[in-house]
Amino acid sequence: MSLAIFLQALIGGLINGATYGLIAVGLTLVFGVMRIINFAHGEFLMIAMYLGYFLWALAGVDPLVAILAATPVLMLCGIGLYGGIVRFALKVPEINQMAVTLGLSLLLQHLALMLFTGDNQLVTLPRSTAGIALGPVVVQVPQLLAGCASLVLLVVLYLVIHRTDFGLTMRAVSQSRDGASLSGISIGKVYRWSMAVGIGTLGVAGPLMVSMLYVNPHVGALFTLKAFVIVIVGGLGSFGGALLGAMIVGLAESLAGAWFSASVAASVPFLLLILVLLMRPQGLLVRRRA
Amino acid sequence: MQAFRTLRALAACVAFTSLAAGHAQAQETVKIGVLVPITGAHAADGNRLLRAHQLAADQINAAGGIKSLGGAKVELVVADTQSKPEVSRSEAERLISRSKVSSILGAWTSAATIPAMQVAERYRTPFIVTSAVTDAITEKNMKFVFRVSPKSSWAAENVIDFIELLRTRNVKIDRIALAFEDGPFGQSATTAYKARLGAKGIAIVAEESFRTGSPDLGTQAAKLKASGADLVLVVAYVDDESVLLRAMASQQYRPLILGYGGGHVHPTLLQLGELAEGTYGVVEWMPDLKKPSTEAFVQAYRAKYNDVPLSNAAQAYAATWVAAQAVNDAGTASDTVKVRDAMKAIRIADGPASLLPNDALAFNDQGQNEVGNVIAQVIDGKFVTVWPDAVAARAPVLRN
Repeated sequence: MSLAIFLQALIGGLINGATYGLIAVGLTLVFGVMRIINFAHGEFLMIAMYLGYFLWALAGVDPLVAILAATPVLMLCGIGLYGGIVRFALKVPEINQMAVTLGLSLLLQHLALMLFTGDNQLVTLPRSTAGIALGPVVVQVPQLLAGCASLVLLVVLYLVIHRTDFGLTMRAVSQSRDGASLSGISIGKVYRWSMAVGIGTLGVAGPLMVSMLYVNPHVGALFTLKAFVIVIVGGLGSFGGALLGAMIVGLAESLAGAWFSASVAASVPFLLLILVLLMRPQGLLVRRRA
Repeated sequence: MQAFRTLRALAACVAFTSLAAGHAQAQETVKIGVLVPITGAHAADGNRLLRAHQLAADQINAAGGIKSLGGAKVELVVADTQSKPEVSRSEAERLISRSKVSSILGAWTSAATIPAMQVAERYRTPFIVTSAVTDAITEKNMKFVFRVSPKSSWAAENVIDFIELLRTRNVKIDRIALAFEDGPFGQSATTAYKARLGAKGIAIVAEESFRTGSPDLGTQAAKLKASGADLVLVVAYVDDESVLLRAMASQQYRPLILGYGGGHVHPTLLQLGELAEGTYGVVEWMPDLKKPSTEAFVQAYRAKYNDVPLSNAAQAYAATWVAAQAVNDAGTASDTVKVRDAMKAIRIADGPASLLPNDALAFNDQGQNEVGNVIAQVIDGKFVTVWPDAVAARAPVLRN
């Protein structure tokens, strides 16, 4: 393999990693705070992608601008998800919680199938086929935009979690729910807003993804599985872990794809998952609890 | 959703039985078994096939039914495979032993077709394979199995014929690359391509595979570009193909593209606009084939369902007419061996069943209809049949 192809795979992997990170971070945030696994995460991504598509198809809105509309809508979805479903699911055993979000995932997929049919929809912009040459590597403009925007948002999220009072209360709840409650933090409120932020990140990811990919009712499922691998590799509930996991998965996929056949490349993230579960079951960036 | 599908299937069954009851008062009907997936993963495809079967049956009955049996009406007995091979087998048995059908048409995928056709062979009832393309189906020396659709490996042969035609017209094709989806679909089609290109001594300069749903195919595009291929044979679903074409365009790499089957000749591809323009695709049938029977079928289908039929609908439609004509020629619907003998002798060069892209629908010694594929090109944002000349709507737009 030539150096040019290696560099192409490297840059492609980093960009994929950044977008995967954006998707995974919402999942890990919700888990970190509420200890609930949201199997419908990918379906909310699908909804955000359809929002991006329809804003472009019906109103000619550029997907980058559509982020401004999709993010509040997805945050509302998150609040609705908490108030309407998760709030009640928190009181039942974990296995039932999983069944609830899994059911929601299937429901949303089939609703989308009824409303939008199974056909793929594409957003076609002049920049869809544009590429920027960085030395021997050509980066597609939509991919580059998605990668950069993901990094920006991840930085913003990091600052929110580590530098604001809201972030402090979130971290407090995630460390000790009872302790936080005793200190006067309203648990319900923190849960509601964590869900809003966790799902809201998909409002950014959706329009970016649809401009480089396509959207159909099952597109979310492609990413749900990957997001789970990422958060488990990085450590469930860890922000940095999700980011690290995303980069590892993105790079591993891309580099393995350049060397081997696609089936082999697709198995690499799962091999990593098995290795991590065997060697460091708590994830790369989470310290084992005493 | 499952419950809804079951309900819908039930409703369909009730509709057909009540239809049948209406005819039964007049005289014995000619029963034709239709084995399709009405529920399960392939429900959408099965329901599309059913529409075409139903359209053919309605037309046969409107034209006076089966003439040699005093105008007996055709009655479709529909059975649901539930997209499962084992159900397909048991339903085929039920159609033959309980419903006493004169022949069976079906059953969408090769996996569901093979067990059902074995049942038909055992019970000596003709089985017309409408859409399954696995080569082996008509290579097992079955006496009661017929197929209107082509063998899958013939697509590769047709593509090579087309490449040679382009070469004679001074289109530069010296280096060929393969880009395929790394699943059963992509792998089997690519194997056929490799075997046949190898036999012709045509070198393959690159083979790039990808998983369906990859968000970035930049590396694959870069490797294809580095191979210097001037024709890329793509075997992929339309969503992945659009990602690949965009990645190639962003690297200023615009070779000739020849896609495969319904994965390429798909409305989604046209959303790519200028990028899809000029690309070719090999496909079993096109609604614009230059044949009077195709025109009539597309018109009737549109009038009844307000939709454009896909290639498998044309195959299902032709199979229904063949089943009716075999009963007519045999002069009996109950002696299925005679129906089989009549089917073997069939040769339909005009009329509704002649809409597939060969001169005449007929079965060879193996029960296989010798029908090739056609090549469609995107011209002015539409799929247009450009090859073979006999049925082409227009000549290919060449870029030299």
